[in-house]
Amino acid sequence: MTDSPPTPQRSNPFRRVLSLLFWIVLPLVGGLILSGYAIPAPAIGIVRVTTDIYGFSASFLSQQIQEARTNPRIRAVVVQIDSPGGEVTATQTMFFELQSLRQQMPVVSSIDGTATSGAFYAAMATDPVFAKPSSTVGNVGVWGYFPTALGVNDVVLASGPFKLTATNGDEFLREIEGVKQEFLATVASQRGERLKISSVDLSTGLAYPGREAQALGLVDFLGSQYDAEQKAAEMAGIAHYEVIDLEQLVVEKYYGGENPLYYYQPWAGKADPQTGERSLSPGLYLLYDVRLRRQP
Amino acid sequence: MKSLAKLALFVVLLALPFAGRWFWFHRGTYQAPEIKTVEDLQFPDYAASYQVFADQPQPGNGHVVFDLYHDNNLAIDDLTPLRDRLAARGVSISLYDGDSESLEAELYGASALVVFVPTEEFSLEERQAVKAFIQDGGRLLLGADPTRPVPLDPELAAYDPLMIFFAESAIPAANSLANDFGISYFQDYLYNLEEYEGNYRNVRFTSFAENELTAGLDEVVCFAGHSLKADGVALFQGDARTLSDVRHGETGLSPAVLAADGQVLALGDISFLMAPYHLVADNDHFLSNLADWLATSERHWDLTDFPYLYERPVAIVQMLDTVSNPGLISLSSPLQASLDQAGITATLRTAASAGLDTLYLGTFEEFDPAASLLITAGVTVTVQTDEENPDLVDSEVITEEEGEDSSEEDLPLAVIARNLGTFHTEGTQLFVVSQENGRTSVVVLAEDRPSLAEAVERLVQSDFSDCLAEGAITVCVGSNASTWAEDTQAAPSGGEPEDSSGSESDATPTPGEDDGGPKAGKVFILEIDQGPQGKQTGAAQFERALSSHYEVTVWTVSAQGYPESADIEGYDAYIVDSGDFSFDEEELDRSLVFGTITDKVLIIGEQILPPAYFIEEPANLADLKVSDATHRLAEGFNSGQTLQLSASLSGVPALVFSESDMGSGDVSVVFSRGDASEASGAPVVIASESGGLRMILAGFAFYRLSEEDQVLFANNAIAWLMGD
Repeated sequence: MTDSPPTPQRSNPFRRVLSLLFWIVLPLVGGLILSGYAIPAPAIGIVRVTTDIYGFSASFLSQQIQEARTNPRIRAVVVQIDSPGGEVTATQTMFFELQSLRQQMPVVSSIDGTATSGAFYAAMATDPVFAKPSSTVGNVGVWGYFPTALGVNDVVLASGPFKLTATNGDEFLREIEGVKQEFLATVASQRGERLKISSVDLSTGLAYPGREAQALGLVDFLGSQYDAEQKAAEMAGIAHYEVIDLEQLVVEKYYGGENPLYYYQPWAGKADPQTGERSLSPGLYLLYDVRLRRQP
Repeated sequence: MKSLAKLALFVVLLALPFAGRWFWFHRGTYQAPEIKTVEDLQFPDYAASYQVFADQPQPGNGHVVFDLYHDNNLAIDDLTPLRDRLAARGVSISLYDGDSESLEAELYGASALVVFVPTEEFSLEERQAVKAFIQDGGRLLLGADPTRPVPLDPELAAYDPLMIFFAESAIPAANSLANDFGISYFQDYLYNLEEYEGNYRNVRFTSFAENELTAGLDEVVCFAGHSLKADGVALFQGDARTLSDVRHGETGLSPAVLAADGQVLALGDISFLMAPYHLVADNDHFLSNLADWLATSERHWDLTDFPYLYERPVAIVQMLDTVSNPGLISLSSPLQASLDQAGITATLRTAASAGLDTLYLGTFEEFDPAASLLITAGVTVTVQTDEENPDLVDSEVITEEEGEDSSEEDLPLAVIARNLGTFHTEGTQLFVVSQENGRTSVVVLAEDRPSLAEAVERLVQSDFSDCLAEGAITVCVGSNASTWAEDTQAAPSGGEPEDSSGSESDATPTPGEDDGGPKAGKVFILEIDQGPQGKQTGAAQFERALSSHYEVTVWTVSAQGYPESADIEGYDAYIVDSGDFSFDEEELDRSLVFGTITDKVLIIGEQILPPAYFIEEPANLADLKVSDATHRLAEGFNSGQTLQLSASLSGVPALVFSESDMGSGDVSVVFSRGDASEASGAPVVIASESGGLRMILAGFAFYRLSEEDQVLFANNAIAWLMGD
């Protein structure tokens, strides 16, 4: 007796589809979904320095920077600057916050109308710096006034001659000189060989239009915010990124949608919108006060 | 195997989206750059160092006036370091606040003037006074400071300290005085961004011109200073890095300059002379040099500076016999008081004394102790036998003894003064100054005791405005003079009329030629001899010009106040004369007078009326021109004739009139401003007649006319007012 060849068995179409789904579609779809979580779309965060620089505005910026640090999508930050500067310590706070962020991701600044005095100081923490051809940039220096020297009386007693004023004429000069030197050294150290202007000339306090500032090495490029974003993306090694407004994010997350800089935490030294006058306490300022340029 | 392959395919397909997504979004990784920080920054260790200069004051002299009358932006205490240095040098100091005297009067006995940070401009009169002071050898220290502008309203300054940036500049005030001496302040401040004392505007200066003021200096620091320009010397000069915020491109700028004559020092900063900044670098040393400069001023004193021409105690020597004239002792009282006020001790002596300066008082018949001084000065007293040819007995002075022996009756005496001429002693007052070998002597001679008293009063008042002077000799006319000097060389001259026939008119008599006949009328002269500035009226000249034909009464406001209505009744014509005095805005009584005297009145003076009433500003007047020779007021003058005016003693500018200032009625402009005057062509003398009332308005000081023109004008005016 001879064996007949085995009769081929017909494959089950349903099983074939199931197999296709399991071995091909499932991993693809699963990969797509999982990769979306594992590899989020990168984004560039926009933070803003668009008011006077004072205690709360520095804290507000710190909150935005913290968002950038903790958000895994943020791979670079663009700082939009349009500010005349303000208080010395708040300025330096911003500077150090931005500088430490640069250890983690690129931080590029985009200057709109003005980056003078303290705002320029803060911009020195970023690299590179973009400006418009007619942006006002620079005004390196510090100014301030100290309270009138006080005598003695039988009503108010103090433990030392400068306890009530915290300073005197000579000491105030030293402070001004110290802050000035700090500012100049910061510009020199951050701009490095790109700087084409001497510290002496810089200390005159002049502000320069963006194009001239570029020639002097105070800024790097002339371009728009988009150009700054592109540059930040390039430095971060990302493409097809999104742009996230970190200021708005912080406003919605912590302040119920109302920007505290304008509503309930404005600066005491803010300029009056009608007259431009400020009410500044005695002290030092890295501030370009437009009112001082024009006659009353 | 098949299962393994499927597993591998599963893994690959699972990983594929990851890879795709990765490469879709990422092009590389971020490399954090090396971020440079500012570490170990070497700040210039600025610490203010203060050092006191060991001042070694040398004895000086003089009197320094500090100006505080021009809204000076400083406190009294600011002047303490400089004042202390001056006091250490024996210099007396006064503060001029304008309350009682004019600047000219305040500078009367001064050797130096200090003007720091004025914010109000100096007037023309003040500038002229300072110029005269400098020409006389006085010194001026002028200081401005960019940190001391015109003071802000205190409430505004308290509200907003930054308003200080918009304060009005004080530079125009400083330049109002500085420019007269070839010095200009710039409205800037100096700075140096590389070499400075704690701040860029605190500039160090190490380059000095050779001068007593900069002797011993290595470095001076100015704490914000203006730059200056001068015809003279720049005492400090900045280096190539010392710049001005305004004078772009310029170097070698200076905040301290000396005028070409070396008498005026201008500083662009005063902070460096004040505590504590005067203790920085060599600032304190400069302060001592400055005090030395102020304390060694060499002012040229002459008779008009009495009593300041004396530097030592004074012996007053009366050359008259006080035994028979005990009243002569009272002559010395006003002199002693005047000398005492100047800090000079005066004692009555019978003769000059070594170690003392001297003041001799005597008559033309009693002057022996001072005879040698008179001879040296060129003064001779002689018997006059012929008015035309004084007969000199000999070339020496005749003493009293010789005079008595040489004549049995009183012969008229004459004084011959070198370069001045011959004078009758009657009515003459003679002053001779001798300054030799460090000793000052003044001789005062007059005709008799009353005249001598008058001369003493003139000396105390230092009023020699109507005297003749040449060198050490001054000759004046007393109130009892009936004839004037012959062959005088210094009398002011007026324009000579081409047709002199008019001067022979009966209405224009010659003064002094009182024919003793009945007077043509009674004239009341109201002499307004007071005002913020002024020296003299024309009352005396009017009286002299009119007294031959009119009965003249002079009422002097400073002595008698303003007259009541009853005082001015019964006169035929009136003259209201304010001379060269400026109008006193606070004086109300004058307007009452104008309201009372409305007819037959001549109102005359440089500023007889309020300047605010007139459109144009007062202007200097140098000459008059006859505009209407047909008017009775111009009789004796020719059409278009120019009358020269002597210089105003006070320098007060005259009002500029227009015809409309006389209101309605028949108005004639008789005299106008001449070609040499400012506002040439404007009316000066306006005669108006309205409703039978006659009035003349004359905008000049009568005494400035020549004597001849005075007689013509005065008599013409009275004649017309009285109806001629």
